Amino acid sequence: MLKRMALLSIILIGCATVGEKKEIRPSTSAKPSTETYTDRIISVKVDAIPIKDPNSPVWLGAPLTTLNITPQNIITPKQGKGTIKQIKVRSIYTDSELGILITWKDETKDVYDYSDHFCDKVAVQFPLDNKNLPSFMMGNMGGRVHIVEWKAVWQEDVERGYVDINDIYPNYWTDVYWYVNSGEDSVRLEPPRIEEFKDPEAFKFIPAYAARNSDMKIERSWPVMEYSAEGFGTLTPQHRQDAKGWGIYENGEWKVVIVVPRSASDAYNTQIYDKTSVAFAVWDGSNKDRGSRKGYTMWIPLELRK
Amino acid sequence: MAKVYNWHLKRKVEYPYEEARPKRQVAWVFDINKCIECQTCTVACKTTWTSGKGQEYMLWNNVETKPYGGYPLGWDINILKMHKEKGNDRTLFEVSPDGEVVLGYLPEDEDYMYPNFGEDVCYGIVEKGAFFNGIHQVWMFYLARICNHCTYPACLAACPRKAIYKRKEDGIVLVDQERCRGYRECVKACPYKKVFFNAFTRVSEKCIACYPLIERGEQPRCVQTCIGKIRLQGFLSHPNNPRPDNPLDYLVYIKKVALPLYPQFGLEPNVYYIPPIHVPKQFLYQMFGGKEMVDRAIKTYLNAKNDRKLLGAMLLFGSTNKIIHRFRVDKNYAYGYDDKGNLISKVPFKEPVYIRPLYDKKRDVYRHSIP
Repeated sequence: MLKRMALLSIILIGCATVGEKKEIRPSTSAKPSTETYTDRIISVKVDAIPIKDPNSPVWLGAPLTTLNITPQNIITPKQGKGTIKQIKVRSIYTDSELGILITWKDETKDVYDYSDHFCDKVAVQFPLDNKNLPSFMMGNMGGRVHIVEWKAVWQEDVERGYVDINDIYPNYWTDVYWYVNSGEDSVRLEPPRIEEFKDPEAFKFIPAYAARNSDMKIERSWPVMEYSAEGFGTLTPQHRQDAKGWGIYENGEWKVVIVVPRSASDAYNTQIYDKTSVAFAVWDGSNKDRGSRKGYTMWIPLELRK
Repeated sequence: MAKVYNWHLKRKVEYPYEEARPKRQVAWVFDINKCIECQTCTVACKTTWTSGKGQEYMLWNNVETKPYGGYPLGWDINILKMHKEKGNDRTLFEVSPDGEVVLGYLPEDEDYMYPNFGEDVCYGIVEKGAFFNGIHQVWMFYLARICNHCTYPACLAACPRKAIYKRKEDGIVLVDQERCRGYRECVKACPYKKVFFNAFTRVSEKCIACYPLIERGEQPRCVQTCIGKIRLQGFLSHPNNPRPDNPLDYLVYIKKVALPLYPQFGLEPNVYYIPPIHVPKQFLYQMFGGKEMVDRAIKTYLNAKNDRKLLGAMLLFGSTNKIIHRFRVDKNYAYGYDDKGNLISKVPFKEPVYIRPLYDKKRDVYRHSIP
């Protein structure tokens, strides 16, 4: 027993070095939870959420919820046949934040978004009004939802720098990238990377950037984005981005952490006191999932265990 | 789906949105008999609009050699084959599979790797000596392509975010660069494959019809720079109210000398082609709306030398950078006018010929080879 506790403490100290400086441990129980559910998510209180460590034993202190994924075949374009059948969810919380760990089997790791290739993604949805639940499918007119999305390509952006065209197509090259190549620099042996775009004029030649598309961020702190929605096709990036997240792929499985503030001053965010509801959507890039071609769950009650 | 009127097919067709024609429809006529595939249009477009990151492979304007060329590779063969399997007497919207707005396919990465595939390749081998025996039967032609700014755009219909819109004032179809999230439903839906995904910005982009030029009364870059003067851009009136003095209306609605590309898809595309006269008719029937339309267009075209008004309208191609809203002809000239009635182009039916003496006394020089 002593040996096991010693081992556990080593693991805990080890995980504390990843992303967070202080030691992170569940305040309720150091033991892995044996509770399993399929119809609710029980969130347990911890001192701090190991955002960047989905393998932290802190997550194991929370009950495991297994949810079946349904192919989105309600509206066009439909997913048809989905490849992700189940996701597994654990949740922990602190005084200020709620964390959700989502894991799912995916034989292919799809990171880049190009041509007919799509990246893997997952999203968590919260209702703004848990007493009057809006449609589980992105809300409805007057029934707003708060959505946090994680994308594999954003994870790459954060970890290794913005995925440049050079990373996807090393030999793609336009003769002149305006306001980038000049003087001696105009004769080059390889195309310039985005880091070399210094002159603000150069960014005028990157249309979505120039148009201030909120999804197009060259500098990104977290691989997640927060949105509001009131029905199909209404997904709108929030001005304030409060959510955090992290994802890793190992052994044919994605493990993604999404963290939201429990009580944000942002009126577009959900406020989480003792309970709320969540719904999930998941995309497999290899299945050419994107947009409404996704797998989803309906609303699942989420309870914060005292 | 709503029922909308498609004047190319002369019937009501299915479309996800109600009929809402713009006040005037941007349109082009390309006389591909005159195209030499110099790609000046392609380069003009490329350097103007797609020199940025992620746009390296994009050709909003391209010129491909038919029958084998195509960018992306086999775009026409692929969709024609799919359409045929579903029943090509109905439009792509009318044969859309369950769960899809329109029948379409997403090109593979490799399809974009060969923009010059089939360039200058003839249909067959010219047998030895064939060129001594009159007109040989081996053929090819150049097909210049841009976005068709369709009346019923498939890209717009397929976008679940409604990030694509058709401008009320001129019918130009644009992708909202702020709203697009890069789902590529538009790339999949467009049968002409004229929407491109930018892997750097992760949103889709397409030909914008050089709207900053059009808004100030000028024709797009691909038209202005065409050295073969094969292009004319203007505006089409409502198909029920063609104006005989509008060169676009006259060529498309009245003389019916310029035809839409693959009208059977049902999008009512707005780039109109004068079909190449030397190409086997069966090939043209498939491309330009069938036997009746193609035969009449070619007959009209071949008779242009006897039709002063038609010839006059065609002489105005490439005669000015400005948009010609009205034209007229007299005995010696074709005249083009802008939207305010100002004369912006005057082209003689017969170019004046000046014969210079071999010896220039004033400069004491001989002129051997100066026209």
